[in-house]
Amino acid sequence: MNALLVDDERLARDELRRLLRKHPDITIVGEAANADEAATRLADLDVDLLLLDIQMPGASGFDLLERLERVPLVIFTTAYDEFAMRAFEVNAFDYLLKPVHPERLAVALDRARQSLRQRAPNPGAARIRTADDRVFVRDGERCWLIALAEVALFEADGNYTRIVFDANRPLIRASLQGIEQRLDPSVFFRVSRTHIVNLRFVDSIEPAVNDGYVVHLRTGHHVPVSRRQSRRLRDSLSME
Amino acid sequence: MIAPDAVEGSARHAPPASRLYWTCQFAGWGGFAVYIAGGYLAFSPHRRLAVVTSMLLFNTLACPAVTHGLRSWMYARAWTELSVRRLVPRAAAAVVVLGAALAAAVAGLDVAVDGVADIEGQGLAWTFAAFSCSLAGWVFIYVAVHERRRRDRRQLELTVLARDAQLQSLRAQVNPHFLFNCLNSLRALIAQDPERAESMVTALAELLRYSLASDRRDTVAFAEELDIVDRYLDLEKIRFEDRLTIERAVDPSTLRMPIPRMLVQALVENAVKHGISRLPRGGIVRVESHASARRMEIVVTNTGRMKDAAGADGGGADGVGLRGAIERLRLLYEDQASLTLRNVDGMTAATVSLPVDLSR
Repeated sequence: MNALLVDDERLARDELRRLLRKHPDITIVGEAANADEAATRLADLDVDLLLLDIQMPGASGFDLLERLERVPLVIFTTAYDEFAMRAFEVNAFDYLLKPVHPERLAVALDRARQSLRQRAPNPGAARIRTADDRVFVRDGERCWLIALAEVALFEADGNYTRIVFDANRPLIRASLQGIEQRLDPSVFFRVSRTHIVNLRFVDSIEPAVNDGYVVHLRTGHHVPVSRRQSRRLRDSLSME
Repeated sequence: MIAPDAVEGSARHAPPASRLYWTCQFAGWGGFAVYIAGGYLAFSPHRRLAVVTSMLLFNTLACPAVTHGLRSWMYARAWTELSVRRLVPRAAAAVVVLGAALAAAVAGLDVAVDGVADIEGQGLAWTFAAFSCSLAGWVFIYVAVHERRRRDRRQLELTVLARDAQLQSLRAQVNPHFLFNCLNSLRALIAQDPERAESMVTALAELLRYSLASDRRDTVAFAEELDIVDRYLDLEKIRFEDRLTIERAVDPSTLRMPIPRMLVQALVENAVKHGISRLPRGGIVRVESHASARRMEIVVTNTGRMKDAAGADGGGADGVGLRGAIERLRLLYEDQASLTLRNVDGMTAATVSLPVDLSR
């Protein structure tokens, strides 16, 4: 497993390096002292696992993840950050408190190894995210690392887009257009000007009371779709 | 009604009576004596000088004595701790008993003075009523003043407690983020450079001891605070390495001047936190001090503009971790001290101006 160490303190990186010596399957492919350096390394190197400090000069660890097209496995390292801990309560990011406890590190690495085995190997196509890819989403104080496969629906809301997954509805500052361009079209379908649905969540397509059709999702959502798009939608579903 | 220094319902001795208490006693009862004597002169057919004199003397001396006795009794039976509902019947009984005793004494005295019983029947009833009403008035005034004073004292205590608590909570503590990062660096240094790790432990211990000091003096000598700031910067230097440059321009005459404990430390920590730690290439932290007539000024400057201070002339120190310091200055010096934050040439300067009172 290829790991990149990101921390603004040299001693903190040294310490992680020393702790990782006990895990010979982890290869440290690089180090970065801030988010910009980390972004450059991530573009150049094949990184499976990011050991990421949250508070760094310039951009934070969260800012870095938001910038990434595809988020590798992440283990956060933080000295003391009430904000981060509150954010992490929401879902299962792995995070380690500095100074790092070697056993906690071992547990986090085990989990990372497991996730890596379950993840489909990434084919080259850099710009398109597959359903197995994960994205980092932040809305106010809450953060999520979402597998795209879990997203049922993208809904436009002005200049923002609402991401519907599980019981969560984070709002991110991105246009539906921009999001659509980076999604795998065999999984995500633009049903209207305001909605992109995950085909794996489609339950049925029925004629609407007025003109057009309605897509029913397994989550209970009803999304209106035009007659023309509904035909294309049924075509792509029957192809699956 | 809980007295701060007594358990409710418990008996205790009366507090020593003040001069004001005795003045009120004699003035009040003296007035009463004159009023009674006037009544006697107006309504009695005899108008004997001996009786008037004995009445004046008796009322001016016996009434204060009796009520002073009542006061001791009230404290001994802890009446001052009772609720109004429980106090009123007790006070009424005391008023009736003492009123009757005084009226009987007056009647007896009257006979003793001139051998003739002037005061009997209606006159006796009138005397009894006058004593009882006056005694009731006395109890009412005494309890009201006592209660009012206790409330004022309690208010003062609460104010002092609140101020102490406020100062306590505002006193800057070592920032936990810094502390745990330090421990993390220390863990790395133990293997890499044990000698540096040793000195790091010592510096950290000194800093912690200073910030946790049980000796909670509000102010320390500037020099003492600077020592701690040095320990702190030594530690940050280990973390930030060449990203942190420290400069110092301290006027030697300011070294002995008293400043609020942890004030400069809070400013320097703030400069590192909001300045250096946000700059990938780091910068400078500079500590300066100047003295002028009866005032001293401490300036902590760091590389980097503080967003919150942009354009704000003086008010910008809020919201960037300095609100606590501002509150402490206000509590310690009222409006005699100030803390301002300015952006100057790409640097942020926090300036504290304090009155210097070497006696503090």
